[in-house]
Amino acid sequence: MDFTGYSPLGGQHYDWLLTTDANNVVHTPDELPTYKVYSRDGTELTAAAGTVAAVVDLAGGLFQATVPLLGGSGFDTAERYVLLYAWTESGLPRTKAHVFGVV
Amino acid sequence: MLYLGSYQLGDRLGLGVQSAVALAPSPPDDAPAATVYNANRQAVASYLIPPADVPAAYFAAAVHLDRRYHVGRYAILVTWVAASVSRSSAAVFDIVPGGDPAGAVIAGYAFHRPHAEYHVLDLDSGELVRGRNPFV
Repeated sequence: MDFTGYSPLGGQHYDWLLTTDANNVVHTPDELPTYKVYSRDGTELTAAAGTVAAVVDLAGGLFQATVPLLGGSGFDTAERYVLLYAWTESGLPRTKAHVFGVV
Repeated sequence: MLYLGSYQLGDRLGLGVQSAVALAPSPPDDAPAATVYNANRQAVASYLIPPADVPAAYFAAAVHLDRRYHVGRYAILVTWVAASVSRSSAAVFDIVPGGDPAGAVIAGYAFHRPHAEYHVLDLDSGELVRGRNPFV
């Protein structure tokens, strides 16, 4: 699970997803990946879930997610959150998780 | 997706990638290519990464955060082909306020004159900057 930096509460967390396997081989998703956000205790921040904003480089397998860090969605300062991406590839489920901090 | 940390304009960002097939070092067909994207998904710079350790298939470069960069978050996508298969890796870094895109001052000289004080500064990019009447 990779750490992807800190972002300010009230701002946005810009995160990038790479759809590769352990050998760095690029795999193309069937559709735009979705994501969910979880707090440290495993509670899902349902209002923060979404779909990645866009394809950055399809050949390289790079996608971008922009997560609004709103207090009303359950985000708080000095906390870390897990961003869990999910997508399918040729019908098979795939996931990747990142950790980020809110300051 | 590796987080490389926070940098200032003018810093040099260490960028390394190892080409491997089935977790064993394997040279790529060509030099890995790196493209840097900003938070608006625009490509701001691209580089070819030279070999640093050929037997280990390790490639490395020092990326100068020059005038093409601004304060914000960036992603670096490195792509290459090994064993006829397209591969990629990526990293994220932040540029925080401070610094100068031309680099840090490595030498300077002051000219004292009755009407003003002049300074000539040598930046580590090789750029010369001159100023008058500095203040803090």
